[in-house]
Amino acid sequence: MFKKYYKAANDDITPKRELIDKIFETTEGENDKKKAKIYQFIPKCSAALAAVLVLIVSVAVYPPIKEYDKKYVSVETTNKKSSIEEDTADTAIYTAEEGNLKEEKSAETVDYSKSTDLKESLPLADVSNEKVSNSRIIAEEQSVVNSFNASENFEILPEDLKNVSNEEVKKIISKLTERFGTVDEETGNQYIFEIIGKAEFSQDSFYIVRWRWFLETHSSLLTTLAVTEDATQIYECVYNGEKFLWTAENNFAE
Amino acid sequence: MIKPCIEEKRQLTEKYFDMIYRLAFSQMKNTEQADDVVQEVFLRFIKNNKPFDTEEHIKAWLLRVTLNCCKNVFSSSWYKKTVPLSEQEEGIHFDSVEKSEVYYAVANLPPKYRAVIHLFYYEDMSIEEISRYLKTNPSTIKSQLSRGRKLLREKLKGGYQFV
Repeated sequence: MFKKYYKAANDDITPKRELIDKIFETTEGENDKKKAKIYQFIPKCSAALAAVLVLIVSVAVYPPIKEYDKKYVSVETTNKKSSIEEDTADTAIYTAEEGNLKEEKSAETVDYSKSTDLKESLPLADVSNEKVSNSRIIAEEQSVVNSFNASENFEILPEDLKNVSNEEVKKIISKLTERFGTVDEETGNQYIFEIIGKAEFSQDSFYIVRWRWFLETHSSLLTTLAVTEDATQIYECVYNGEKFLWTAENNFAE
Repeated sequence: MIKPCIEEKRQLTEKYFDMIYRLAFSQMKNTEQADDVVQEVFLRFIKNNKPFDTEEHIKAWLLRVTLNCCKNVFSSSWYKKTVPLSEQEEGIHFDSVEKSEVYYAVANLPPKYRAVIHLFYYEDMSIEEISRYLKTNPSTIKSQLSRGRKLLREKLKGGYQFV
């Protein structure tokens, strides 16, 4: 009797069979979410891998980056001599960015007297009754990057420089003194020419000369010059930390 | 070894759904909680990747998981803080007094007796089967069945025969 009524009572309880569909829909939804997560993960991984590859390729392709202490170095070259008063030199400022030089500004009038970016003002001596302007070292010479594009370039390692005899020293200093004088007219500072060696090439020979001037308490480097034996060619020279570099243009002797 | 695919799991779900639902209902005594338990049981079944030995194993697994899910609800703090409505208010209404008397007499038993009574009298399982399915000693099932019957006799005042 008990069993009969208990069974009958339980048979009156109607299970909600629609729950079955709900359960399987829930399961499928969760599976879809899992799949979606996997599909989201794949592009994320791909993007990360691509980024790593680009980084590796960048490092491999641009090893010169390591050679420069500073990423951004400016080199200013003066193509035209003019007076400080006029100060309208055809000036190009180059920016070294990741090993490639880019011209940022050219043929532009620059008021150096107001400029605060320039570290040091380097008035040059009078040459052939013409006031020579405005070569200014903005960055340290050792970190300067060669930006020359001229047809004839020269470079030499410091250890390859030959010794210079006293006679040669006297001769070169004499020539340079003739060209630039012994003192700066603007400031009255006395010039010093320090010959550090001779670079011999198949056709030309250059003396590498440190051009300094005396200040009250110390001497200050103006620039480095590459000078031929007869001093008919005088070029500004840079040292990039490894070698001396110059190009046969902008001859100070002319 | 049986490792049912999703379609086979659906067939097994449909096959055992009524059994599990009624067992859950006998334990929870209301439709909402029975629905929740049943969903939980079958979701676990569908997500379960372990192989089963036989279909009997699947049935036993479903029964044990159902009773464990009910126990989890009973032990939850939410359930303990819930004050149930009277059984007649929240439960189902039967078309005869006898059914109602018998059903609510079982429903008022402690859960462990309810499960055994339900499986024995409704699912027609033997003591050995119940002990096998629930992985319990047969003598334990026997004593639970005996105590459940005794309590039911007291509640029903001897009006029914327990064959």
